[in-house]
Amino acid sequence: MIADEFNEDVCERYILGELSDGDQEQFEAAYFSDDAFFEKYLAFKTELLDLYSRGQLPEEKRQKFEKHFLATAPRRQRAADAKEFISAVTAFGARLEPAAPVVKPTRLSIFQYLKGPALAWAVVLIAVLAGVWWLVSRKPQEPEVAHVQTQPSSPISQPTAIPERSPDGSMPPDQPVTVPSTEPVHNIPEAGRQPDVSRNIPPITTQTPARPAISVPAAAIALNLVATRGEGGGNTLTLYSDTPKAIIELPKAPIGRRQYSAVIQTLSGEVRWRSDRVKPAAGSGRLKLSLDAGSLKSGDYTVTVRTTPAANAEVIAEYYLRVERSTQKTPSSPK
Amino acid sequence: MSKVLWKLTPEAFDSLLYSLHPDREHAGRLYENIRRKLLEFFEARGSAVPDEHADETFDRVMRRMAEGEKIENAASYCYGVAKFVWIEASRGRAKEPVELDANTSFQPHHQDGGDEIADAREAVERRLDCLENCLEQLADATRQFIIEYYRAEGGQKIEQRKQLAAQLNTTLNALRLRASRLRRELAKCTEVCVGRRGSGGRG
Repeated sequence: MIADEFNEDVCERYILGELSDGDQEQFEAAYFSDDAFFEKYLAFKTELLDLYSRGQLPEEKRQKFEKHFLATAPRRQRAADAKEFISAVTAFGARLEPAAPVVKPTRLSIFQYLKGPALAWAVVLIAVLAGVWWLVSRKPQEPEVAHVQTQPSSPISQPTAIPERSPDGSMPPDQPVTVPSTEPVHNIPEAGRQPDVSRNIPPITTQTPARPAISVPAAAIALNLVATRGEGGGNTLTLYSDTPKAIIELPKAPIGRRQYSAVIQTLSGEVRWRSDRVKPAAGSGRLKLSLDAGSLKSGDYTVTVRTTPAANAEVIAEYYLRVERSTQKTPSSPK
Repeated sequence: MSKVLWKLTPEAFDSLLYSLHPDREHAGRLYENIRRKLLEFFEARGSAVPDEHADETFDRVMRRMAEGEKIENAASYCYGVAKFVWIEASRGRAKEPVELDANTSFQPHHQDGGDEIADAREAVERRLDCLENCLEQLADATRQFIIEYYRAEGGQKIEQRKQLAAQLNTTLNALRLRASRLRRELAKCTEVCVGRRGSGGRG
């Protein structure tokens, strides 16, 4: 029986739409009545989604998956969510990984090192190094060193010197390309002189001065059911020239609905704003519509809330809204 | 111009919860579990709006309870009602013109594409930000488990998961179940975080 024990092959056929009607119902009845069965189904389905997201499904299975599983928007969204999740977790994990440990050489005590034949080799090495040092210290100073020190520093921004091409397009032979010095402009002392500290250029900081925050509050209104056109006062929203957003709050939504469809339209039926995914706020259950203030001109509107986006869907509630636009900027609140 | 029609009452919802369990918090978890199953069912059957169909199923169950019907096993009863809801929805869908995507949000015609792209990008950033916050809130061992589970690619993945299972003294199946549950918890946490950060009512 399909429902006796969770079977991955059966589960896969259910996900790919390959079970007969009877087997499909048995499988569904099993997960409705058995939570452990349901958990195994969810875990398997997630695994299949992950394999698809990583491109690791065999070709035949991938085609079946795309044809059946991705046929509807909600399931396409699940596939997209799976891909996003894997990328995010992988990136998060990569950022947390410690840097490759530095392998420190095993330290030997000098006394351990000097035991046995190593001592003789150490003596020979020291003698050789001493001889090299003596020879080097006897060489006269190179005049180029002093010459370099008296040269003025070259600016960092000087372009690279590139030899010119001959009229026939050929490059002159043996012309090395010079690259300007990358030494900092300041603090290169001339020979025999102390560095001029007055010319020290302060280090460039990466911080830019913070711009003063300019925040213009959104215009908000809580709609009442009873206010109608002509009653004046209630359900009137004033938008100023610099108001960025309008927030329209509706009374508590019916219990049990996870989302609604809301539309704001003029009295002549012209739609100004719409959303098919308005969700009640956690706690209060009120519906909050947030929209660009620029989408509402002065005038009268209706705000209609339905169960679904379809035009003939049941209307949950309807409100009147009057918008008045002001050419002035938002007045500052009194201190 | 005021027209209101409330379909449900708080009392009907309370009755449903009470039928699941006398303790309201426990009943809420059972309710969410059944709802999850209904969503899976409607998605598997090809519904473009599984949320709405799940709502409709609960509406009908609550109406029947309000009319006096006694329900022994709420989950199985909901499944039975869901099948009828789907049959009706399928018939209705067969008569409608085919929609390319039933869940698109409509934007005012005067908004240019740049605003939409910027909004979508902002929404993705907010979601990823929230997911990272939720990952950081996990216990260290739990977080490390999730990272290790999803880390490897290709053929290495199976080997790495076998090693992980051995380390945790468990089976591959148990590992999969644990990862699946954690992922659902992270999704819930992310959704709450996104809602708190003011996605507002634009959906």
